[in-house]
Amino acid sequence: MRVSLNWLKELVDIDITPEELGKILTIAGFEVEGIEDLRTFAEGVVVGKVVEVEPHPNADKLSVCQVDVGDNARLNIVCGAANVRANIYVPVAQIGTYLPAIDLKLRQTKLRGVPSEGMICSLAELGLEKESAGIYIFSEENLQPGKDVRPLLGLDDVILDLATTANRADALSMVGIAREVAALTGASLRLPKIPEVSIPQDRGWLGLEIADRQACPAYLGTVIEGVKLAPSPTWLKRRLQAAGVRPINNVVDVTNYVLLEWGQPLHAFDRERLQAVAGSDSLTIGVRFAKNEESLTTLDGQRRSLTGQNLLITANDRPVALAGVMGGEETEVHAETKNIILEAALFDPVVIRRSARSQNLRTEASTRYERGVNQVELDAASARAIALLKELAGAEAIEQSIVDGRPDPASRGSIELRLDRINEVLGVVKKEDGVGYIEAEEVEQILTALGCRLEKIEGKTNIWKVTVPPYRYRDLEREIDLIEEVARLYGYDRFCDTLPEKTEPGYLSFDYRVKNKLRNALRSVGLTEVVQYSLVKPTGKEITLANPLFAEYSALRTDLISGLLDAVEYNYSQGNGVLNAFEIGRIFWRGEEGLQEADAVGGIMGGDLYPQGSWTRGGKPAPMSWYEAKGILESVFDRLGIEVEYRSTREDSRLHPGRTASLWLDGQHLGIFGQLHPQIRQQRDLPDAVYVFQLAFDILLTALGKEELATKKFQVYSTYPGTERDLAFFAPTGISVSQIEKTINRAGGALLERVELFDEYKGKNVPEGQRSLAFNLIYRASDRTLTDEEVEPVHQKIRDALVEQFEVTLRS
Amino acid sequence: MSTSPNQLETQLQQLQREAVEAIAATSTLEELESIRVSYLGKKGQLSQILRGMGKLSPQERPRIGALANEVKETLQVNLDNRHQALQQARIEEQLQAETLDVTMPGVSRPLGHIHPINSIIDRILEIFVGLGYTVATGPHIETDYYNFEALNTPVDHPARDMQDTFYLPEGSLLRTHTSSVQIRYMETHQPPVRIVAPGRCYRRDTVDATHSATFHQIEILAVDKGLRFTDLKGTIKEFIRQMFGEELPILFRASYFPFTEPSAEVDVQWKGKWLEVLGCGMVDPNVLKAVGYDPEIYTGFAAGLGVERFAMVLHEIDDIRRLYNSDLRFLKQF
Repeated sequence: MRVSLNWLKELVDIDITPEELGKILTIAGFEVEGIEDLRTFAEGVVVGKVVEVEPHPNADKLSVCQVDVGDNARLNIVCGAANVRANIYVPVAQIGTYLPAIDLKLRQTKLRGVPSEGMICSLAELGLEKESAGIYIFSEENLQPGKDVRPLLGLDDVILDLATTANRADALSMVGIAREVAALTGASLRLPKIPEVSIPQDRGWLGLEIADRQACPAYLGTVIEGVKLAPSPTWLKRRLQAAGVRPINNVVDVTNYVLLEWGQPLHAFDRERLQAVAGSDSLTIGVRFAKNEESLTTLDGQRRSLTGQNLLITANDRPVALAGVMGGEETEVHAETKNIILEAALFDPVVIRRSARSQNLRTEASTRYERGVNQVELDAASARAIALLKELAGAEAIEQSIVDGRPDPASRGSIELRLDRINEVLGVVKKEDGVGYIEAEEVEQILTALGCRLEKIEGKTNIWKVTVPPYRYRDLEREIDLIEEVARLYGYDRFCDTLPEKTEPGYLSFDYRVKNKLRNALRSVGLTEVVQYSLVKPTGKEITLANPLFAEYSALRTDLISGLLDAVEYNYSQGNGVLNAFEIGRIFWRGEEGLQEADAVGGIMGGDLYPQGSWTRGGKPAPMSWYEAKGILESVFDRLGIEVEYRSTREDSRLHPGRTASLWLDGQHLGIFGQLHPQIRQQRDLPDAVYVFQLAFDILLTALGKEELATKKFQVYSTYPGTERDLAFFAPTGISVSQIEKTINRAGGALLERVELFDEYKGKNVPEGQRSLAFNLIYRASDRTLTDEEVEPVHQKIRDALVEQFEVTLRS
Repeated sequence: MSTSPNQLETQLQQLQREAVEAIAATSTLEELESIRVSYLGKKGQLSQILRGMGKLSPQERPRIGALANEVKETLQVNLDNRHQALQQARIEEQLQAETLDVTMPGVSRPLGHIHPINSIIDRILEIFVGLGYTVATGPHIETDYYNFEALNTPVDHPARDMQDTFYLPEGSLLRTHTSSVQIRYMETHQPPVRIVAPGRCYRRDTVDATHSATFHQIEILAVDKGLRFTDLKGTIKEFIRQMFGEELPILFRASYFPFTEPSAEVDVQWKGKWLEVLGCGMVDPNVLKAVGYDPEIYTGFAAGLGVERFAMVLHEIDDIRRLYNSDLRFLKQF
């Protein structure tokens, strides 16, 4: 909310600088988002009287003016405005003046050969309008040339741009801010006088029919006749402009003024237009929810289809306004308006919130209704507007119709407040003589300043019954609300800084420890952490958002690999080489039990295994081989102490069908690892050596178990020498090395310590459909040196098992 | 042929002279070995000379024998010294030949880098674990209850505007803050509660240099008997001190969150600028009631902060999108 300091000063005494006031308000919860010093907009701009105007000798559209700027000084100014003429008073920017609105510093200049010693300004050039048709001409008579124009234009003001928190319904008004300033600074408050008006009721010119009393607890409709529609007086225009509201005419301006002053939205209908819509001279204003297929053109010119969520104002049941949000175009006050119906009403916050949201509208009125306007000041706001309309438009209120279902303000009880509780919740404060608690007198003083009434409960020490002023009903309902007010006004900075008396043991959760260990392992094999968006472009299988902001970000990612592929492609195209990276992040899918989510570990690698130091191989690339990529992953598993089984798979169409393994851990599907499919690689313009993997984090977590992360137990190793044997054979290519190793291990029993593949060969001298494999086996016992007699039978058993199971042809 | 002792003596002396010269003249170990063999070998020159000893008289034999031993020993010493010298020279030669330009680049595979978002989370968790908090987490897909209602933000509460929500089919939503973890944790634990909840959150925000539809938050919650606003202030102050590595001017401004009261926003003056760093407050009694804690017995405080914002401030990152677009030129700087 834009708060004019000049306006505020009329309501409350302020003897501090705008910056100081801004700081006080900010600390108290009204954050000042900006201070706009209007005085800088026209510093050095003075009143000038145009004495003579002559056409420019060299340009059709320019005039050469003699302008009196006081002290017998006459300036020769070239002016391009069409509305310049002699004998007018205008704002003149003199040489040396800086105009921030158009970022211009005026210098002596020549325009088409004629010297110009300043500029006659438009309101746009002074920052008062977005666009101006011509120069500004003062309407005042007999101004003194050379005088500062700023007081005349309302540019002697400072605007504080305040953010008010969602709980403070009362603070979206000048009166509300003034009350807050008064409470914070101790200054005295001067609220506008509300005239006593007595308006006849029940004369039968205006009927009211409020269908939903919950949605509209009170409605004051006033018939006002004899409106002399005109532009508002300057002071009113300035007020509105300072608040960022465009002046329109005296009637609309008065409703807006009262809205800004009291926070009560008002609306003026043209009475004759209402009658035209109603199709009758006898008017009944109604409040009801819209029916389907009804529509209304609002003041912004939009034709709106209405739904059952929209509360309407009707004239004889025909929609004329979106209640509490925006008036209708058809019944708008216009240049010929003579008579009006002034609406001052209360609407339910939730109803207005839903109605405005369903129309995607947010207005000054709806913002206030949503938070809840002050129920008690409705009559005051209405009376204030009626009095101003009389004063500024010569209009007379002839009838007022009222439906009032407001609860009696006295029916609202008081709140019990305990000093002990205040101190229990807030703790100790800094005092002149050290540290202490907030005292009873301080509480009383603070809450009284906020307009509360405190009454000590008899027989109890330091417990009060607190009666809250009506304008704070919305946010002061409980003891804790009052405690907050005490803290806020006492000043947060005056409270001590303590640490809790008791402490608890802190620790990382198990899954965070595993995550950290995994991150560490992945980084140490050369993968960099990335963090990617969870929202992706939908491809059909994802969970989609019900209310996305953009189509490209309207679904939840089902895996991490897709994002990593985009990342590797982007980096490669940027000349960054192949990205070696990983992410541990959440993925989402639709499962049998509805929407599911889990953490996954996704990684991508490739490019040269050793990207640095390529001079040692003459600059030739040495792309990571499939087995090197697998080895990188294996080192990570090794670091975690898990044994993962690799099974050939074709389950992922993005991966090379012959070079992809599904990963299994303790019989559970851990994930997938493979080389990028050549086709995808081609589409994305990537090199051959790109490998990806994705693991299910929860399966890792289960497998690791809590004990695993705990202290490792030492295993005794044999100090006796091992016996090595090699084993070479032809095996059918369909038999995997892992199958063969399993068989060797099973047959080898306890004496076989290690099996290592050391050669694979296909081609010449190897039968078709077979490959030559060679293994190195190490036999070892923990308590003795093995003899050949002990090793030989075991080795033979392995040979027999291989022949029997896989029909291998032994070569050694 | 007769051999006189004098003759033998002369021969030995001459042999020694020649051999010493020959040894000194060798330039390789191989050469030295052949010289050793030619003088001291079984069929070497020394043996040949000594073969004439048998013809000497028994009186002469010991003298000549002693002389022969002397010669042999001298040769051996010379051979050994020369051997050592030549070996030393050979190593020198090898060292010369093997000398490298140590400034040429090594062959390496760079280690992975920590992402700034993760490192900020790591750092904050470390601080709060040190202050006695344990890590708690929760689902990203939430119900309205955990994300709003239990946090004193009923349907149609104006505060829901503060955080625009992404809704999913079947009425669930993507959590807008990690505060939902508070409720889930308190529902299943009794006080004292001290948790720190890091995680990803989602808001229907227009994406620009400072806003992202996905972002990370860290939230702390402490509930116990006798926790006060001053404890919140002290805890935040200690956190800021550890996070920035020094005492900084801190400003607690009054603010409003539906789930805390009193509420505050905290500004920190860092490198001359005031930064808004976190929001916090005393847990609203309605929140405690929602999880079945008696607010007359227990009080608590909570604070929440945006990880991206910290990362951007501390690392002076100009655009939040850089954190998410996985550009190696960005990633490798951390």
